[in-house]
Amino acid sequence: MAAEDPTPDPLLSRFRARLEELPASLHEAPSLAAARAVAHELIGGATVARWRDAALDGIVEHAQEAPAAEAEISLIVADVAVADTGAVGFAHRAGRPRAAGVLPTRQVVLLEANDLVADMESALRHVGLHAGNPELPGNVVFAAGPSRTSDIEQRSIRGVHAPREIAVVIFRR
Amino acid sequence: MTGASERELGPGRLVIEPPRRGPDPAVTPNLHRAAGNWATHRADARRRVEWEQWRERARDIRSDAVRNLPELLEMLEARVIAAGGQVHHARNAEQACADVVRICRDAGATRAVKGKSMTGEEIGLGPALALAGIDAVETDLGEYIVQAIGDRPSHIVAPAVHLSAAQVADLFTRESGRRFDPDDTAALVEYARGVLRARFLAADVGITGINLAVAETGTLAIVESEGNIRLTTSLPRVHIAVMGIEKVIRDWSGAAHLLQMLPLAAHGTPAAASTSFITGPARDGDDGPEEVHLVLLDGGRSAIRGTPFEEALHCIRCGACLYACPVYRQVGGHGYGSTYSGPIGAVITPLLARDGDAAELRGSSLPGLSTLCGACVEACPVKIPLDDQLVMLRHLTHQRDPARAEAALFAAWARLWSRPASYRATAATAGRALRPLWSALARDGWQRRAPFPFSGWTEGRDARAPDPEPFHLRWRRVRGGG
Amino acid sequence: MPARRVQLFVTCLVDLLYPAVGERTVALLERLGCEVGFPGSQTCCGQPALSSGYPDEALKVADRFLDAFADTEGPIVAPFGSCVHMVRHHYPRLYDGERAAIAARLAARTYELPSFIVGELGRQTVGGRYPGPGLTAVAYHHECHMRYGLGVTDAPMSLLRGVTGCRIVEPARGELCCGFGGTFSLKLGEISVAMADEKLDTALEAGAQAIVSTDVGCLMHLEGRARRRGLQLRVHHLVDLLEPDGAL
Repeated sequence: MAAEDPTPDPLLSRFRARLEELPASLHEAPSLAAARAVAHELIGGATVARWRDAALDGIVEHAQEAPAAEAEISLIVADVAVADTGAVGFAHRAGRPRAAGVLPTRQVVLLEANDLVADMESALRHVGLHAGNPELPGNVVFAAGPSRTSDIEQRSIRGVHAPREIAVVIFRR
Repeated sequence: MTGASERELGPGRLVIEPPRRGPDPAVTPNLHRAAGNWATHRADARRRVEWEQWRERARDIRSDAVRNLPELLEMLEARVIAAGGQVHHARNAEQACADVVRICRDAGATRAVKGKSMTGEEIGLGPALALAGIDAVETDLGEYIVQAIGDRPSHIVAPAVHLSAAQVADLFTRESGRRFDPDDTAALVEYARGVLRARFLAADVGITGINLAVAETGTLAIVESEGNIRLTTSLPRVHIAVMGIEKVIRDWSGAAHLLQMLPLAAHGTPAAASTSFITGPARDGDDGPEEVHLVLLDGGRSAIRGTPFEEALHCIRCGACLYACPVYRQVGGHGYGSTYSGPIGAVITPLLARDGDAAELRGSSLPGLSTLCGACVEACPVKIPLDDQLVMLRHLTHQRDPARAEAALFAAWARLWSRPASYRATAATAGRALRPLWSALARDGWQRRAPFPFSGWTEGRDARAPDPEPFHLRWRRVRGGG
Repeated sequence: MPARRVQLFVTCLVDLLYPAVGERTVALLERLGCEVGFPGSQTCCGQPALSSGYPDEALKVADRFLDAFADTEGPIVAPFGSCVHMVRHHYPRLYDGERAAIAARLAARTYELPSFIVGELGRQTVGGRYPGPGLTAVAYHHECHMRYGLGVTDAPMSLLRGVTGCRIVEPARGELCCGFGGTFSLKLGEISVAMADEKLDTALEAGAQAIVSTDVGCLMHLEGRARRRGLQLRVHHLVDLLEPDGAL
């Protein structure tokens, strides 16, 4: 998907606009392979804590991986994203250690375009948070942009305990 | 009567000290800035969504929950247990603290990290943990600062709003031995981040409040900006969530709506930086807590249901009414002398306070800390009629703790002014009596000293003198009759 | 065209402390083609007692309002929004049974002056002049019971815009309460005065030479403080500016 797509996707436009406000960066890739390449570029030589999802294979060398408390970048997958708010949502489970998704100061998130929905209500449903789901995920986080605080004289500072910088790489399978 | 030692002795009270009677110049610049920011953001929020319709819906969601509270609490408990969590029912603050301490002891937990929780403040959880020998650090930056300084939070959403950057830099300098520049905010945050990182990694229990509990699946929802909640509810092996019972809602549809209203009302943004949805302890290979405990605090809440004050239980603790309030802006959160400040605090404090406590501890004077302007009602995302409730509370507190002199004055006033003849007679008396007494002092119809019961007026202002010819006499003079 | 019959609800503060406001209200309504009645047995709406937490005392006095106006016809017009808010918002809640129905009927035909002129008489402006050379800078202070309680801000601004000889300035945080608040002004006088100071200081910072409102409680509080501080700021009721020949 080029930046000047002749048939603009309204969901994507809204998502893009909201991410700009947060701020978080959005990178569009035409395929998973291309998305992996983008992620690889974004990460460069930094140390990485990654989740074990197959989509994240082949982005960094094993030697580049570091424990969550030491890595510079976290590399994760989103199960859903919300166009209205710019949030990415993910369920913690096997292969997705919690610390690896939150401790490093920078974060790269891979998101499949089909997982981008319009609003919070749809997103909750999409990720399995609804009544009558026997496999309801036990822990889901929706993260909209960098962590921040204005607790000191209302001055806004980005990057406290969760990432300071987030890059979302959106792709179509 | 009050002071640090009393608070250390046991659970905190709703009321800590009598409210201020004058502005607090130390905090007004900070509050003005915070309130001004909020006002700007509020305008943004209203442009994003159909604000009035959203408020109606938010009110309906909360009203459904409070009306059906017993049913929804039962559903919540069943689902939390089915998901592997544990539920504890605490009738009051003492029981809630005892529950938390017992859970920690049973789990062999001695090092705690805490997320920001007004409910925790209400029950005095900090002092109770300290007394039980459990080392608990506040992890929200504002709360961390407030705890380290030995102070208490002054706003629901911005606990350190009353402190200056200089005070924070000074605190960190004392703590660390390194010099901190008050203008290098990033360095201050970086320092706190480092300190807290170590505490997160070493903690064996995380204690938080919650924003909402979704009954239909037993899910706890917690919003935050800093990421400290994610760490508090992820890294330690035990998570304890303390919740006022009124925070339950029925379903996910309601949750989706309220989780947008909350950041919109609090900051003008459509989503919090982070929202965690917790359903029981870790499963499916997730490396989160082994135990999740939900402590349900009644603390006087169920007694408010079915009364004219029931809508006060709809509050989602967004803090908007504090920022909107022209009186809060002058006296600050501490000025209310109670855990819950601002308009909502002035309402729920006397309602939750216990009958056994003395008048001052019942927060009887809090409903008077308002001009009844109505700005809070307009700001409230769930449309709580706070101004009407404050008026009703003034009546209620007179019934509990009569102010005899004032009651006598109003009784006399009602006697005189419920009859036209005596109303006119007081007008004539005031007009006539004041002329000889004050004509020397009055200029252009204004005087520098007013008589009882209006003498309080002239401490700061000149007083308008009663006109020697009130309107009703002018009408009679010009038109006759009347 | 037959004159429209209206009843003046002068309000106790205007009656006793600002009778000229009452006179100007009558003159204005007559100029706009109304025939003004003044039910002589009216006293006060009862708000001071209700706001202080004495609803029974408030009711005793509110009963007089019901008695004075129930058998009259035509809109009931007051130059003071706070009292109208008492009648419209609180009276139906204070009363039960038959009196509640009477109160509700009265509430439905009670208006504050700007809404009556703009909404009922259909006049966006009624002229008026601020005397003196040049354009006097005027800040409008919306009384809280009109802005928040009744949801009215356009009508008074519309009338103000029709006044020549002045220009309107907008102080920062103009929506804040001035701190009068009825008995609050006596019980928590220090806070009340601090709030007046913020209102006066922001008006001066915006370049205002005068403050205008319809709430005589706010007016006497702000003017009283301005006088004590020796500030160069005049304070007027809106109706003072609506005189055709600018007689303040």
